[in-house]
Amino acid sequence: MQTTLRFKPRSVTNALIRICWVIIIVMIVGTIVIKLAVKNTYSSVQPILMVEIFWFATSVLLANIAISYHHLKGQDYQLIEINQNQTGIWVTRYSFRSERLYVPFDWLKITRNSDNVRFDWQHALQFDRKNRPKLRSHSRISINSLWLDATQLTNFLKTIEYLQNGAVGAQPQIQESGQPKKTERKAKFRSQIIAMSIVLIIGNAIAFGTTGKKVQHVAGNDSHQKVQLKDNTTYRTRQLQLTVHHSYAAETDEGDPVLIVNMSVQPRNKGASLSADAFKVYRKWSDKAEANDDDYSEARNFIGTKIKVGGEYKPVMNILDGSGWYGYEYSKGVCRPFNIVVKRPKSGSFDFLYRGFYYQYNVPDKDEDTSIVFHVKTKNLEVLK
Amino acid sequence: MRRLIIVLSLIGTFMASSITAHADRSYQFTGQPLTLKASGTHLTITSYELLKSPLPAFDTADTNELERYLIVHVTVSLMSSIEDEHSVDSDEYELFSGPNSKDILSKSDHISKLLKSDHYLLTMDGDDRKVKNGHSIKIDLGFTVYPDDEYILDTNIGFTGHHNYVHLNQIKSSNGVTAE
Repeated sequence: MQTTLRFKPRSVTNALIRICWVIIIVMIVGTIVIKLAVKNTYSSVQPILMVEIFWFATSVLLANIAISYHHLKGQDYQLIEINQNQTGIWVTRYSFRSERLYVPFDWLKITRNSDNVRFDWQHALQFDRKNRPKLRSHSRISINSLWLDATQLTNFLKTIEYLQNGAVGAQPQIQESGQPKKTERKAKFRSQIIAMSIVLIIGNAIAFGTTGKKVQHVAGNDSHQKVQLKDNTTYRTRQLQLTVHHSYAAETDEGDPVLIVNMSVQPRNKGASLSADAFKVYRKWSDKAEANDDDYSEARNFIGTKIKVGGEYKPVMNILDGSGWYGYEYSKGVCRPFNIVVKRPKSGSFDFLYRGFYYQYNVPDKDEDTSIVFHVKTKNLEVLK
Repeated sequence: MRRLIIVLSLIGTFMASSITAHADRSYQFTGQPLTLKASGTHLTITSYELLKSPLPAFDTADTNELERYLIVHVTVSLMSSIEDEHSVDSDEYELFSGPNSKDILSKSDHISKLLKSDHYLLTMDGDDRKVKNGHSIKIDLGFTVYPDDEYILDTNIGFTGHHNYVHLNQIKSSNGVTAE
């Protein structure tokens, strides 16, 4: 009598190795795809976050497979077992939480062809922890013959047929089948795991290397706040409190479109300082653009600028210059609204940067300020003309 | 524990009250002489002028060469009840042209000889001028400023840490960007 049906251990291990390889390749390719897709976003935190989420998902998948395999191995690769009273079969479905189903022979139908064997059942019973039966509806499992030992399968099917027919007649003849050596399998598995680790590490090194040279910029990005430029709004950096009162779109007497930000600033500590050098405009800011000085324009050199207001050209007052103020010089008594003037592109949106520290150094020092990237929508600006 | 909290909160309130007691003050100069008092030393601002000439030397921050000299005429006097003398120090004064901090002129700006002879231009690296009790002295404070800005004179007379801010001019503007 053959009362159990087991997977061929070698087939399971091979399948496991195959799945792991596929997942590893998916991980590497996915990383490259994500990094390429979000190459021009505001920060490298975003792609890193996406990659992390992606890796987490694939890791969960891997863990699920590993746990299933662990359960399967714990049950000695057993798939189906005939119960002790020989009235039906126990089917185990392996997953994160493996479940066992009881199918009486009356509900069971087996079909076998050259490639597959299929177990169909109209109903099945599942027992919960308190051993209460729960009726499960129609389902089936279909297994490729490659996963099973042919002799074992034949014997098992014969046994079931014998029992289904009420155990009449002669007991089926059982043929012997050879067992593969265990040690051989283990060694193969170990070498596969080593190979996987190497591919995973090298693959990801290449994935990161080809798509983003500046991995060290990651930390620096935490120091860039990304906000929308809004009137009557206060923004805080490590050292300053900037209050934007108005933001204007205007045109200079030389015909250049400019952005004028009317703001006031409160220093938050004595080490603070401010000058026009801290303000720049980018068509689209990115950490890379800032590191490469790839700006559209700078706020310095705009003192004395005349803009068109009410049809005539008037000088802009209280423009921050390239020297500005430093530390103790600036106190509450002189904290008045002032203006930043900077050339803007004619596009519908662009970015206005307050640079608290030099990005080339990646992260602000303890005594340096943090930066803010203001996203500007041209249609939201007040127009002076 | 409770006692500790009470003591700490008392210290807190004491510190808060002592800070507010030293609150800085702001003034608006209207053209009439304005007198600031600081423990027996009086500073009277009589007038200010933006010079059309001479022009300041080119400065790197001033790309468009717009800077002008701003001269603030003041009188420093010492009450006779004070027994000491007061030495007028250039570090007592600072000017803001809009958001930009401007130091008092230095000797190398070569402007003093262009001014009226009875005026003493206080310079960064010049000799301190002393005022005896019961006397007063006329002094000019010179700064380089931009012509379209608001000017705020920040004074810290006698270095008491007690600042007085004098808004020298007032620009009317509806948009904060250009004058009316």
